[in-house]
Amino acid sequence: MSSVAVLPQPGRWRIAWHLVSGNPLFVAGLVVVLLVIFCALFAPWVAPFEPHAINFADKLVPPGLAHPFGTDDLGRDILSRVIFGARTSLIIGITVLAVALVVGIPIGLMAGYYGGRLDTILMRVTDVFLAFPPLLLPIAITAALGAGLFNAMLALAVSWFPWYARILRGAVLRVCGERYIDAARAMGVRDLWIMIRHALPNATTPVLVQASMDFGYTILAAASLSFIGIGARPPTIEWGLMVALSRSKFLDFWWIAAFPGAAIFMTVLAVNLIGDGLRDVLDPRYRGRT
Amino acid sequence: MIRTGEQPLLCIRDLYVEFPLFRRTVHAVNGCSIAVEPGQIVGLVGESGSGKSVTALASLGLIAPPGRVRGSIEIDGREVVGRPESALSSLRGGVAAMIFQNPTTALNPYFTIGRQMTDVIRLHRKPGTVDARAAATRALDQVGLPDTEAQLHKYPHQFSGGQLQRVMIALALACEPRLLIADEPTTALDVTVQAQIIVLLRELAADTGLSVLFITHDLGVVASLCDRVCVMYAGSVMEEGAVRDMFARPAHPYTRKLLDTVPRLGTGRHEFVAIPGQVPDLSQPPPGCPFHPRCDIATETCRRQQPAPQRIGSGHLAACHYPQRALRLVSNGTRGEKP
Repeated sequence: MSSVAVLPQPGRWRIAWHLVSGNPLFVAGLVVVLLVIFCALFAPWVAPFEPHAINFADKLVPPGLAHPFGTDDLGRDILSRVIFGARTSLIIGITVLAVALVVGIPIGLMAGYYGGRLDTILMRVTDVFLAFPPLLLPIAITAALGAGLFNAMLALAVSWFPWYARILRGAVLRVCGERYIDAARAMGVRDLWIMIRHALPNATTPVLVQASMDFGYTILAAASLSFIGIGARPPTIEWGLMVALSRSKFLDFWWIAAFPGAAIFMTVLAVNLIGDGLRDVLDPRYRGRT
Repeated sequence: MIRTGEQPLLCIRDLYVEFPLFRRTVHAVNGCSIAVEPGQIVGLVGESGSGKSVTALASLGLIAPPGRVRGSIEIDGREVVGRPESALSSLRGGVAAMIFQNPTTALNPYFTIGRQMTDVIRLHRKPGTVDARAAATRALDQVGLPDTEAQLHKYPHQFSGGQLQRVMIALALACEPRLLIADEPTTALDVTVQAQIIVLLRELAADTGLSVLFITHDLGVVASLCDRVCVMYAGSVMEEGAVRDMFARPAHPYTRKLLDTVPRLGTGRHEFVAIPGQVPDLSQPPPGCPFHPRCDIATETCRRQQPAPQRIGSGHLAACHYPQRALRLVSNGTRGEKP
């Protein structure tokens, strides 16, 4: 996943694999995440049923051979819906993180590099966003913008970017104390180029590790928003929404809530395991080893 | 300060650098004046904390706020102090380059050295006029690294300290600067590599007219490398002169004591001489001569009045009220050898 982007040369794939293959938890996480990506990409071919097909004859069928995950109160196949739900979840994770990183990275980079008054202003502004309880801000924003998946993603990105700005600022502060920043300035390299070329690459590891972990949390948070009714709305297939819709029945028909819930749980866990292992892969000291 | 005909490439006049802290201000450099002429290698020696590195950083305008710089620094006739960052970046690297003390931290660990070198070369040469890669290879060749093509593909962590220092020098030389400011470039290296770098710098000074401001606390390196030497103490230059003169006839008591601390082989004396006391706290510099608390011959005048540099001989200055007394102490045999 994220490791793809930062390891451009082909030879490094082998090195990367060598580094992570010693970490079974990473491999397990990778397998689950690849499975989710596979399901998302090939949902129409993988899913045994049409996810929107309503069939009252087969409603609330428990898990069995015909319907491995059972069916819901409208007779829709839960397995197929979980498979299609992977699409929504991946889109949510990628979009929220992309927006949060695009906003957070320049802020953190400038705050850490220039310091002084600019740092104070940028950090106090991000502090405002951090002052809200984690789920309250997205709820407030979606409530203001109107319920819906797109607004929910936007709201999540807004509440997430301060973390990246903070983490990157801290890392940039550390990197700017390094001699090679002075050396670059002494060689006449200009500020913008130093920031992009020297400060950013050496400071991104903690941000990327955090982002890879947050990938899971954004899915979880989006599911929470859907659960309380301000995120995805039917007919969008979303795991959190599936759990939400089963609210009135899951005590009697456990499978309606259990399988989408398990899908959220597995994905979040797997992404976290990958985030842990990513730290090793991104360490430049392992570069150029054969 | 001494002028001998040619316009100096680096001319530091009456430099003050201060760092305001919470309750006090550290006066790191106090009225320092140094000149480096074209093709000349000038040594800047002093103990740790004497303001050598700060002087070097200030020369390229690298003192970051809240540090304050006063005085005048001219590189190639262009004033550095007070110039905006944008004007300085054309000076840095192209006209004057700098080498840092610890090479293992002075290169970006994220990129191959080839990429870092070509970046800098492209920055300072007009695009298309020079093949950056070829220039990088040439520079590495110049500092005596073997198998230069392969070296370009390596990351900094794959080099030893000595190799990295040579890479740093190559990086600095790749843009063909006319002035090199070297901040203790040989301190981290073993003596054989140190000797190679000294030979390299001398060749460059002789062949290409490169000027070097060489900062070190190693008097042996100064003796074998430099033309002139400035002795710095507590942020000011105590004594300045040609290497030969200074080592033979140190006029300042501090220089004399500094020379005394160098252990000598083959003299039968194996005692180590230390200068008692410590470098003064630069947030509360002592009144009068900064060296007086540690000086054997200090008088009431020294405690009250800061001595101005006075001429001892041709191109030889000392900031001492009693320069001749130090000379006499040498001839009394404290140093075991006579000029």
